[in-house]
Amino acid sequence: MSGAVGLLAGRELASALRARWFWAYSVIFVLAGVGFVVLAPGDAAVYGYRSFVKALVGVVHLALLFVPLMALFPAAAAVAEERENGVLEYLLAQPVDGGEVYAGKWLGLAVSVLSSVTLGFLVVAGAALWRGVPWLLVLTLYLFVALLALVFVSLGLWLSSVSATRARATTLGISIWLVFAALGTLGLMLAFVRLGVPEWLLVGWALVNPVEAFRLGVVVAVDGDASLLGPVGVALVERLGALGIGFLAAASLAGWVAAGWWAGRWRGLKM
Amino acid sequence: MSALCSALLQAAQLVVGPGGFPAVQQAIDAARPGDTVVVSAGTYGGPLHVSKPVVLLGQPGAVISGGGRGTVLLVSAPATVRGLTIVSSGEDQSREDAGIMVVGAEGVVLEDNRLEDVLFGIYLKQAPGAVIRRNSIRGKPLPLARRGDGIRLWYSDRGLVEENEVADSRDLVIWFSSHTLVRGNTVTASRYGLHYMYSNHNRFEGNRFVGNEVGAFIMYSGDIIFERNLFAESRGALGRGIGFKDADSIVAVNNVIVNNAVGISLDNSPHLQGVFNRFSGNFIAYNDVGISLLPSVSRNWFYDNRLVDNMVPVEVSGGGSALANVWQGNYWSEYAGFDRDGDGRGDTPFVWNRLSDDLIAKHPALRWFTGSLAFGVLDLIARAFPLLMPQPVVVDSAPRIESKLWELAAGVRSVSR
Repeated sequence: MSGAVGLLAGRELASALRARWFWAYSVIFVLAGVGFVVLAPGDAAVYGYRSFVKALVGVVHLALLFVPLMALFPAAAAVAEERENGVLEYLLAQPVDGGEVYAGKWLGLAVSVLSSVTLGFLVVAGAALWRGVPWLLVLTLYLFVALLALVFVSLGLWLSSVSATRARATTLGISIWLVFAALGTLGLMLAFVRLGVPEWLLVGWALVNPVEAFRLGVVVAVDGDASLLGPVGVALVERLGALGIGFLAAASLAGWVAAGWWAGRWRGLKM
Repeated sequence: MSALCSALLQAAQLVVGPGGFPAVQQAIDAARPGDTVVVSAGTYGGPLHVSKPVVLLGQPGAVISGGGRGTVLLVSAPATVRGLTIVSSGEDQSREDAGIMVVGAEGVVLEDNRLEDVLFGIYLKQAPGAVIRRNSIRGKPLPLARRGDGIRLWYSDRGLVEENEVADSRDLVIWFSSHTLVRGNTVTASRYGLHYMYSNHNRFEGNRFVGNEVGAFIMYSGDIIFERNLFAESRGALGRGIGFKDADSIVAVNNVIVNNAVGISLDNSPHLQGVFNRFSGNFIAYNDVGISLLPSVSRNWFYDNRLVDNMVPVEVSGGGSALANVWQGNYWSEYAGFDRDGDGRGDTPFVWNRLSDDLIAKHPALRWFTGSLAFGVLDLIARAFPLLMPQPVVVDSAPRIESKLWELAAGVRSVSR
């Protein structure tokens, strides 16, 4: 990492720590964690950590809703806003190239978003470990949450770098998230019910869509035989094993992080 | 009385081992009815045939090995077999190779034995009034389809199957037998923890069925009463805590049914007209589906049960409603009503209908999207536009307000041991 990249990342991180979004998201995540702590104990005493699988699925829902958005908003603003107010022009007039600026921004954003996510997750993890959830499961869940956050940092920053305004970048980002999180899946369900598209398309969609890959990874981590996912899930586990599916889901997420990163780096930052 | 005393006085003890008979079969052949054959520590070859009413008593370390061929111990008289370790039966399904096979004898007692590497564990054929107690049975390491039953009762009425531990077998199965009692057993890693076929007037209680493909399956049988059993961790494509197929006059009370793919599964049960099944006081929790019914299933009474945090509380396979059954006074963790008059019952009925569940019931492959935001959005839309709402799956007119989870936790611990 060049000095310029580190300097720019530090600047991005410092600005995130001053921003309201960082603290607002952190507080929301901590509150969600506290909610989990309050919900979990009564149930967990009955039948170990399996008692709150439903609560864990609730946390997954929460993560699907919040983590992409808390990464998208600041990432989508990072370049486009500076382009709008002239800071980017000033920055690129310095002896750094566009790629370095991009890398610095990505790194700073990644660290700040991950800090916020980690803060909230620590509360959930503490409660989960206290109630007997295996530490490996907690770690796996954290890795998936972190990867999901990084996917939307990469996507958001790339959109920000190709959009003229912050509003456009944010709108594009939210639209993509909506397609990934709900609309695409709803469309596929409709196609399955009405047109009878084959089951492998359901699996394929879950593996190429980062939001679905996250859900798949988390569900398989929690429920090793994937019977929660019905006949398709059970058949897939029999063929690939829970570990294999987990790796595929993680690889899909990592692929999106890399794709977003390289798309932006390759293009570089232009005015 | 004097005849009994005389028989007891005359009963002899024949020892197998150093200083005694070199082979177990020689001692059995030499024994008279009422004698005890004591098998000292050591490994002895099978097969053995007990054809007279004797006591075959193994001392610690006494092992009978079948050498991987046929049935190890055949009993054809009202004998007692106690304290033996029986290993290595054959694995021929057509011959039904077993650790212990009892044929045509009444009142046989099999207790405190250990059976390992056996195709069938204990197999009773036309052996009424048998006692199978505190045996430990482990099947051969074979694929599920090639295993034998851990314990099988075949036309053997009035059997008592008590406190046995069965693992890695096919079923603990009762065929064509009545008035049996299955109590305090633990069955794990098998196909059906307990299986009734064409067997009426039976009872099972206080058993633990954990990690089997199906905890218990009751098929073509009636008048089965069961209480205080634990059905847990039956997962996978066919995973069921307990399943019913053409089962009539079932009474299920105070059982714990947790963490299964499906908690209770009902297919054409009851199937006789004018007959009801009754489920009360059961704790049905943390299953993917709490209760699953086929569309035509009716006349099951569910009252005073606790349904807690099942991903789907009740499902009708293929879609539809379960209103032809009676749902009254159950606790539903999904219930969001109030109890202003403080009578312990919700002021409004519990109604369960969710568009996503209806879709899954009609298209099981869509369960793949469990936990997705898409299902959440779908249910939200359906709530906003009631026209899209499917008909209710369940309506409980007087839902219980208190789950009494702590009380239940103690209950689970007591059956989970």
